Amino acid sequence: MKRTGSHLRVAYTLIELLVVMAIAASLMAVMAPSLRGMMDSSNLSRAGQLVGDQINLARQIAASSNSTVEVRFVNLPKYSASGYSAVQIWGMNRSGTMGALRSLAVLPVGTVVSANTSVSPAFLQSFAEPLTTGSMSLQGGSAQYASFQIRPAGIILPAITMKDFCFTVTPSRVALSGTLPRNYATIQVNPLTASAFVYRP
Amino acid sequence: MRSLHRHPEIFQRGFTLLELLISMAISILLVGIISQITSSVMKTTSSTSSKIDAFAAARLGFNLLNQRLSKATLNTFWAYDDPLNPTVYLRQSDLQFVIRQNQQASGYGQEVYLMAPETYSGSSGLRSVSGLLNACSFFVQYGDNQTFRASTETGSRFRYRLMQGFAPTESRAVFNNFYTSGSQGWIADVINGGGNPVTSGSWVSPLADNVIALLFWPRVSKADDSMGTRLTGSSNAYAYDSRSDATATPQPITANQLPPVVQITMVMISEAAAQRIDTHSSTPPAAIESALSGRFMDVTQYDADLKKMEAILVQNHIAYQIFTTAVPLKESKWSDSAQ
Repeated sequence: MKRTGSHLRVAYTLIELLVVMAIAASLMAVMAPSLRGMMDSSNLSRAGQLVGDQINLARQIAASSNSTVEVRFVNLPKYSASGYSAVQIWGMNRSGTMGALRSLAVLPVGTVVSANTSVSPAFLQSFAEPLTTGSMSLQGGSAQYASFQIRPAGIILPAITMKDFCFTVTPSRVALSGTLPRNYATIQVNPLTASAFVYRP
Repeated sequence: MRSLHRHPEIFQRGFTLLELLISMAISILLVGIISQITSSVMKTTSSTSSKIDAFAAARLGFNLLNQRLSKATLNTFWAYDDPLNPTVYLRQSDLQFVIRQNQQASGYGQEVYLMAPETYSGSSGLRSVSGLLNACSFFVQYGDNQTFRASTETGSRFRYRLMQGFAPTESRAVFNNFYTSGSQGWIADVINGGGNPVTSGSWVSPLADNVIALLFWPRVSKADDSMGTRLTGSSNAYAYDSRSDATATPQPITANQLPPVVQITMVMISEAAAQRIDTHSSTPPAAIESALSGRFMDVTQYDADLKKMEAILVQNHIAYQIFTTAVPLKESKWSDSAQ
């Protein structure tokens, strides 16, 4: 009796293993959505901060170099075609031609500056003076971009009102749906000072 | 049987289901505790970074205000007092520089109106012309953010704010009023809130939140004027108007001239305090109003007013910060000693 009892203790039974696995699986299932939400949220925070920082950096470069600096929102189809997934600062380089002043700042994976004008009204093309759009060569291919310019005194061209001068970072899977997702980061820019502020809901 | 008794550790090799469950419960507990700690750290980080952001915004606004103010110009010239019936040469200008008490509440300090060559225009064709003048203003305002909040934001935020008025070149008319006194032409549009800078909406935009007072003290250099009352008139008011008595003979030294130095003082409160005392309405918070009311109207009371304000802010546990600097105006071409 004692012997058989000890034998039972040495190994798990199939039932025990199944119970443990079921518990682990149900725990994972409960935690997965909230983990995903947390990841999304921290990625959005970082992305919003990144865009805001790039605009503030561009303002400082414009002021310190006393020249006009351009902020480009770049559409990288490789990452996400549903919006702009990178920002780059352009300006006059030392040889007097327009060029990139900083390397491409790519948003965290899964986030994108939505090109949807109901959440990023700054991209509206119906303004008297909309953001400049064009294509630039990048990593052997070409990429579409939208840009505005910051003058040394901090004034932004084209002239768009502060209310409309905002860009929203959303998870890329919902970037093109017309409504705001639950989680987003809006970057608003004062067009007369080029200072950027990040709003989170 | 014997061998098993000799090696009792063999019995310990496997876990029981109970042990496993207990260990899982403990690990879940640990995960819970760690996630709690992480979230509280994240909360602290975000509140700290928002504090830093608010401070940086105030710093930026203050620097911008200094820059724009130091560039103020009047383009003064000499001409007959009346071209049709000349009697005397007068110092004249089409432009104006005004410091006056805040119109929303005198305790918020002063408003400044000036012209500076910022070359800002809503018309792309005009922007290549250098040195175009813009009318500019700075003042503190209590109100909501309806006119400038981002379209994704909902709900009003009532705050004290440092505001900047900035009118584009083309909306101002020039050379229509040079031998009159009083506020006319460009500056009148700015003062009265006319004009339309860009496409729609107001051309007044916020520079920084939670700025509760902004003082402009026009003065001659400190060496010539230790009390700072040389330019403030008999009432010692924080006031300056380059057009006041500009057509009198002899002209006062301030007529169509800029003050040599403007001392700027800015008082800012913390966002945490602003949230705590938020009234969520157009009625400003009483704690701030009581700290400000009746202050900042007499330059000889500058230190005393600030001390009284600080005492009330401290009493209400409102964290604050005072910025101050003296800005020499580059275009001011006189001093007391040269007179």
